[in-house]
Amino acid sequence: MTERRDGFMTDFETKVVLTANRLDDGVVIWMTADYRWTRDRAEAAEFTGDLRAMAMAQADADLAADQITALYEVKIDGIQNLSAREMIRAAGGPSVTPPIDRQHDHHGGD
Amino acid sequence: MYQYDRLDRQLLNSRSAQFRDQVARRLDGRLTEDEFKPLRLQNGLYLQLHAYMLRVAIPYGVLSSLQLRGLAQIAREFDRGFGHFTTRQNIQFNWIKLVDAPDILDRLASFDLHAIQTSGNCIRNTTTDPLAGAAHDEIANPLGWCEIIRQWSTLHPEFAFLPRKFKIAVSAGATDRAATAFHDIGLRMVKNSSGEIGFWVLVGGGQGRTPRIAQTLTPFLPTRHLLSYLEAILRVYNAAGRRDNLHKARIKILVESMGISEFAELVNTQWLNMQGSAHDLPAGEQARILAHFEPPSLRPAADAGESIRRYRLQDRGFDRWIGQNLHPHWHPGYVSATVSLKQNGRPPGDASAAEMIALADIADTYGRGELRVTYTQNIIIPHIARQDLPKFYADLVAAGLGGAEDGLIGDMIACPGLDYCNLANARSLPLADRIFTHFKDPDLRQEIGRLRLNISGCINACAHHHAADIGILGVNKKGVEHFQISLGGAAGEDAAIGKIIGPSFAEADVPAAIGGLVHTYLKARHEGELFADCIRRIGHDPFRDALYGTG
Repeated sequence: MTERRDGFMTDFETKVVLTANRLDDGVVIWMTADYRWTRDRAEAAEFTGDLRAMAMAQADADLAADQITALYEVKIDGIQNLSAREMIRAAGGPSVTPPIDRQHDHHGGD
Repeated sequence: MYQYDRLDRQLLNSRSAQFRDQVARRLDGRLTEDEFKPLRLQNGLYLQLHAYMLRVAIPYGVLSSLQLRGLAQIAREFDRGFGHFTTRQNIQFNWIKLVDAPDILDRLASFDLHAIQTSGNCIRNTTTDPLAGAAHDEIANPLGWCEIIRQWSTLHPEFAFLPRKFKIAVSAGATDRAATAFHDIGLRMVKNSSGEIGFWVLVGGGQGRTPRIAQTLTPFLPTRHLLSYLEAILRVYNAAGRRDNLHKARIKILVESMGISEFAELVNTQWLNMQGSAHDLPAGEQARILAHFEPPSLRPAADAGESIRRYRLQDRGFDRWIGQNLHPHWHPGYVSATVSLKQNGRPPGDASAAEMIALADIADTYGRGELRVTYTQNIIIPHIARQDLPKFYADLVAAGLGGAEDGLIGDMIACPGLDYCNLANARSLPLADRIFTHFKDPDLRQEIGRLRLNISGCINACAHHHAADIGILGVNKKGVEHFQISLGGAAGEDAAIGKIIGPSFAEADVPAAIGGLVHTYLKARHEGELFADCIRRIGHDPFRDALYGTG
């Protein structure tokens, strides 16, 4: 059920952030240092070692409680931190501007 | 166009209610994600890079103005005010909430649209010539046959879990405008020596990581046997297609591995066993469906030649547009017109809600309230009187959609790529814009002439890069986007798979590389020679040399 693109590594050196989508609206979310979920990538905490295991345990609990989906870890050391995919996802939207509908007042907020 | 009856609407409403219940059960935990995923995909709902995405089926690309306004309302109420038209002649909404999806399906059903079978290993939306029923060169109107296939394939219980997705395209023009050779089944309407109309049936075409051109299964199939023959093909594929390897599961692999003769023998054996059974559509039902697609009665058109000439002299934009975006009609006083969804700063295929509403109004004012989505990610409005063209164009310009790009280098097909798609390796959309900027002079784009340039963000080839004069494929080089260039693909009756020309380029270097290819062509071409013909004549070497040097 859990989708973890990078796999849950057993080593305790690797630094990761945890990300998922909220189940009900699909919004991309990140885990904070106090194990909450935020939409703001800047608030995402980097976890290593035991904290990483605790963070993943909380994330798994949220997954089991059907609050989130598509959970995975993003390694922030090494090349994966630079992947275009993760940069675009962290930016919260595409790198192009879609045509603007002047009558539309919803721009991505809840 | 086809009008839904009570049964059609009942089906959509019951399906929508079923999905509402499935979503509720997912949200309260009675369904796990693993259980729910195939159910949401069967209703066109994906989870993409940023959010849920809903793909709505536009049957064979035909929309009424009422339906387009309805899609615009969905874009406004449930998305971010725009939609993305796809190479399957569908539309995608990129910012959908799961909790809203049942309401959206209800809304779609209220104007006779749905998202059924826009994903999953089933028969997908049948595509066709966007000029169908309005073309000057077709031997029959294929839309009725597309509708027959739609009704047959929708929720067909035997074909709900095929080895892999399955795509059918139908074409009836002298020119194949539906890329039939790149489909699992391609149907070309033809006449036999007795003048009877039937289908030339092709099978085993496709793109993706293993591009193949479809082969002839039978050169002539009487139209009355269409459904039984399709059923026979699907039965053979369903039974013999591979399910052990995702990358070898399409029918093209089956046809190639057993050879077209053996495959045809299996199909014919299956088909002969089905003769006399209830697999073909009764003549009365066939006639009922085809009757929805009778040609419109068009009023006699005044000779517009002189006024058009005058307007062309006065307005360079109009002159350019009329030379590029019009298609001949079976009625000499009428045309069909491409509305280009390609321009600098616009992701190819995107349209805002306001633009959709403007196009619906224009189709009502000047056409028959009908629009076509093209697989090249544009809109065509058919049945426009030539005398109305200056006003029609003025309304398009007022809507910001007066571009004269049809078939030119600016008319790029681009998939959503890594900006939206979970499968992509690289971004197609910003690259399309960079290339557009590189060729920003409209006179240069026109001077280059017809040139198809398609950009896929991954090997799944949603943007048909294999079938382009210049194909661009996004690849991932250690987390960095790179782009591989291929040359010499074609989608029509001269279908060909492009060949990779050399090592990939970083994104920033691609526009100049395309510039080098185009410059080589402009230097080498004979008068009036298209890019595709020039490549066939001089080969790839001069183009390769232009990009990589002669060393």
